[in-house]
Amino acid sequence: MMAHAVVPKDRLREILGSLLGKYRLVAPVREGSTLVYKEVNNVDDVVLGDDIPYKSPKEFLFPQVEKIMTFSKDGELKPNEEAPETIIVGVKPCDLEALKVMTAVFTKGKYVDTYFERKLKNTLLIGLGCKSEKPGCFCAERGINREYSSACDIFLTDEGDSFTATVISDKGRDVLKDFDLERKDRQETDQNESSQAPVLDIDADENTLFNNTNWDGISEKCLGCGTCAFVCPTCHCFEFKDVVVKGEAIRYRCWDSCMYPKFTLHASGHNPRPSKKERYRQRVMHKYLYVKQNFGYVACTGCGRCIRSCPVGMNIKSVVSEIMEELK
Amino acid sequence: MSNPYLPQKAELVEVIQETSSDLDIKTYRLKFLDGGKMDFMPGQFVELSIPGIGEAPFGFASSPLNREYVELSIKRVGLVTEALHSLKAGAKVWIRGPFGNTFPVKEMEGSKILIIAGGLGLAPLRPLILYMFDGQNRNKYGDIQMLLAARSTGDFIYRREFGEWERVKGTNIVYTIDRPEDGWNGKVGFPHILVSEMDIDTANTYAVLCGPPIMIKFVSNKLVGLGLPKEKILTTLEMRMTCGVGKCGKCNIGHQYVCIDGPVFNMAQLSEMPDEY
Repeated sequence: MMAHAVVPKDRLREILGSLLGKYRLVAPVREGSTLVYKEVNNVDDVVLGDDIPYKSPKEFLFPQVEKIMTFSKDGELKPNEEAPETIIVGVKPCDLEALKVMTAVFTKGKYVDTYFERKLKNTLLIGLGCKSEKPGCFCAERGINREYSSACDIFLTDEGDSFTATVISDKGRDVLKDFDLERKDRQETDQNESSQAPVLDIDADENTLFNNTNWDGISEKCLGCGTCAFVCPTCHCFEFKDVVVKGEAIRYRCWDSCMYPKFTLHASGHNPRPSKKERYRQRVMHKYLYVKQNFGYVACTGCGRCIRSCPVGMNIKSVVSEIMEELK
Repeated sequence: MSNPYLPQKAELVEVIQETSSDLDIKTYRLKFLDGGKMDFMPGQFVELSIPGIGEAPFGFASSPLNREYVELSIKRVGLVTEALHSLKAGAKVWIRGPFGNTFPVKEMEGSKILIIAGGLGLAPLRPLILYMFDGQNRNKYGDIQMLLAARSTGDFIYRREFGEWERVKGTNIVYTIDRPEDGWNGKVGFPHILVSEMDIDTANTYAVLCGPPIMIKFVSNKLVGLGLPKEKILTTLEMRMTCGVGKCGKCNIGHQYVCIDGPVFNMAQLSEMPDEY
């Protein structure tokens, strides 16, 4: 049963402060003018406002560079399975939706990615609603309610001097149980999971979309820099890289991007995606079709980060709109 | 759940030089150490690691019924294979798997079999061939015809075993090379031409192809033309399969992942997939 509590903003800071010793606390903080998710040691640095952080907090569950195992000098294999107890606070509804996609990819099917699974299990997610739509954002078109999501343990709604905390999971209730909070009656109907059906959605046969779309024209100005993948909350592709340090071989898992020519390059020299046309097609079709076919989610939440970050103004929202128009 | 990226330690117990023209293919016989083992079926693959260099996918090349060791036949072509080719018997490597689907050995029972392989393409078919040749299994399959192709006589892998293969009951093997050579008494020419000369019972045959992509394409078109159903023409695909477990996002063709939905596909499936492999 969901419960609601009134948490004055100063009180929330105190609560987070008292949890600091027990948990790794990750929150939006300012780095210059940029808002980023970082591990914090001082709760005064935590910024729980309306701005959307530059990247999603996915790197705390799926690090950009992650040491996954070490082959020691004497021929032993040591997996690095550390997963610190973590609280991530201030996660926006779009990024909570993205974590559903990441969770499906990494934990559903025949194999489970135990590195992601263990980190997710040890993470408490505290969501935070958005008041306004930011430039580039299109979560509404993707059918996501920017004000509320239940895909977390506790969800915060900004009420001015206080937050309304909606306690969603047992994990969320347990972490708050030692703090004496004022309960609040609230109409459940205030909090709809989804505001509307997505208007930006591709309903097409795989081969039709693959063959009959003007991918050359659509991808013409793309530089292939891969920035979109690095700021995307659902991009999850990776490569392994071994590094030898003092006789030990350390295997890292690193983010990779389908925008790069070497992403699919075979050792023989053959490349199934030799040009940016094929690579950009993969990006759009993976997000809007393949993940939906395999897991039931569209892997684009409308967070707008790729649009805000692209050096040449590529815009996935207009690309998808254009495709939808062509398919009509 | 167990960690799907953790490999088992294995020892290279024997390294067999395969080709004579470029000397760039070797067959590695491996035994798992520390009580490790790996049960697999024809068509599956492994990820092999050399710590400090990296990891790469390779199809099994030995019989799945052999519980003593596994074999992988590997061409020197990239980082991992270059390092592997410098290793000698006694060296330790790391292996995880088995991954991927298998040739449909149960469905294939009762049918005649046509194997068409080009060059190193014979390696991933060898587990299937040896599985069908096994005394327990041979009677479950009809006649086995093979068309084995190589650029030159020196490029046939497993040549040392061909005599033994030819002696298996109900087996007929045709060999072909690209250009005439002195003393060669096999065929000369490409498999898609020679396949027309073969006596194929199209109503009751499974064809299994592996080789250069162009060979697979031409031969399968020819077989479809001869009346073999697309569902009964099988092949196995290669991709840059980093993880082997459907997570890393490198080997998809459309929504299907070669590492978990393949690597074995039939031509009916392939004809419905986007042309990107």
